[in-house]
Amino acid sequence: MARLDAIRALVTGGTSGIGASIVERFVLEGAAVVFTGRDETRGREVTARTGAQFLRADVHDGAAVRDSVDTAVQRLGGLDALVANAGVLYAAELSQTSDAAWDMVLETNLVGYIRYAIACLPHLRAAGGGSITTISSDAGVWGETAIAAYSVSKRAVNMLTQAFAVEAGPHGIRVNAVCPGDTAPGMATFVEGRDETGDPGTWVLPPLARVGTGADVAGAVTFFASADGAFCNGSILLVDGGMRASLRASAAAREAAAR
Amino acid sequence: MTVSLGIEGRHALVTAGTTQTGSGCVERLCQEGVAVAFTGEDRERGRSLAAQTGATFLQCDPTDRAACDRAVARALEAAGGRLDVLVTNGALLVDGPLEATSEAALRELLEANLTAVFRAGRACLGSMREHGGGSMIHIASTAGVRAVHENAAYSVACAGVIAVAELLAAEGARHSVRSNAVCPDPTGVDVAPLVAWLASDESAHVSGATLRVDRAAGAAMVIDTRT
Repeated sequence: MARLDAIRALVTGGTSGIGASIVERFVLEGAAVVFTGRDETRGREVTARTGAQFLRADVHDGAAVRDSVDTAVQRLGGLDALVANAGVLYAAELSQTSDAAWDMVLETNLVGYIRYAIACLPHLRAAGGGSITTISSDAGVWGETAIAAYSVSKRAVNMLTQAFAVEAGPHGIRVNAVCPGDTAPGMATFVEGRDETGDPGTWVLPPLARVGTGADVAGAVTFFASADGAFCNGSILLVDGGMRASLRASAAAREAAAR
Repeated sequence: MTVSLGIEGRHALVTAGTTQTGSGCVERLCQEGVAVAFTGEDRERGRSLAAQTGATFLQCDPTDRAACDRAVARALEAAGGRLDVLVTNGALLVDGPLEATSEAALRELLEANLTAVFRAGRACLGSMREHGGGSMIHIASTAGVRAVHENAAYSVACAGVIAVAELLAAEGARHSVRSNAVCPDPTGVDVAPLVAWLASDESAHVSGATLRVDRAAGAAMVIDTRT
């Protein structure tokens, strides 16, 4: 297992949930990893567990983003892969979404991703090519009323992924999106009533009849960042257990479980 | 003889009605006998469109949230508290690849073309729900369906608008509030007839749809190796 040998990677929002799983898997696959986050304590925990380097950075601050990318590149001696992952969830229908919540979701999930991508592109070009993988959501492929602003932001993330794929492709930089379904532990557990251990009884399940794990998502991201994904560019990959495969995906899972 | 769409006497608000697409919608809805209020930044164009159509012009900078709120409030007041139709338009176009788009330009675009649509939709959803229903028509672009890298940031905002249209449709369905996205190609095609139809009860079961108006440009790729 060394599919990311010699890959120098920056993972944003790597201190918890899906991001921490990506950091862990990337290190296991031989990558040199710097990850960002806001929480020092959790950052140190992930470092202790994985050996990856933590950088405190807030995606809301344009100058801080540029500084953190420069520092990461300095520490790694270059950059081959960006995983844009730092995001926020707000659980409300559109009519119940305040201006402040809408702004926070767009600022983090959309503007933050664009900021990181733009800061990293010159370094990826300098390395002679590389990859950007955006962590989007199945709600970006097909929206969900209960997490409406988040769904809008992720639809826009899918589009920016394809826009960057077209812009950066000629430089050998591949840009792809991974769209997780409900994953635990992670932000999906913030939606009311869901057990954070992923106990299936508290979730509406996809046809695979379980909640996703960080490892499920990290595997897809590893694929895109590795040579196995060499011809993937502008790809929007669902990692959702089949949740978005049909109108009645969750109903089918319930029926199967009842049999 | 033309068959009437049966929307005379209804009340509509058209945002960014001074744009080319927006003014086409204002004209057409007025012809159908709809009482129209429209917003726009350009005073001169707004006044001339109002004079020409009889619609009410509400001058408003699409990036000024308080001004947008006042415009919606005035449109609601003029409609006696009941808006039947909301037509939203993108107010801005930003050229160039994403990497070359400044953060200031990106923010302004997202505010005028995406956040303003969300905010107008949210405001009208409440009012339409109270009055037994309504129809929202969100004019985006084919660039929101497939990325157009010459206008990459605009594509991103349009993709968001389509998602907003879908989410308003899903949330509004139980209150008879419909919401659809109309996506013209960039050639300046006239979408006003489609918008008028979507405003009418003829389209009663059409909600949450994304309607491309692009002469099949987005239907399948046509790759000609001879050119």
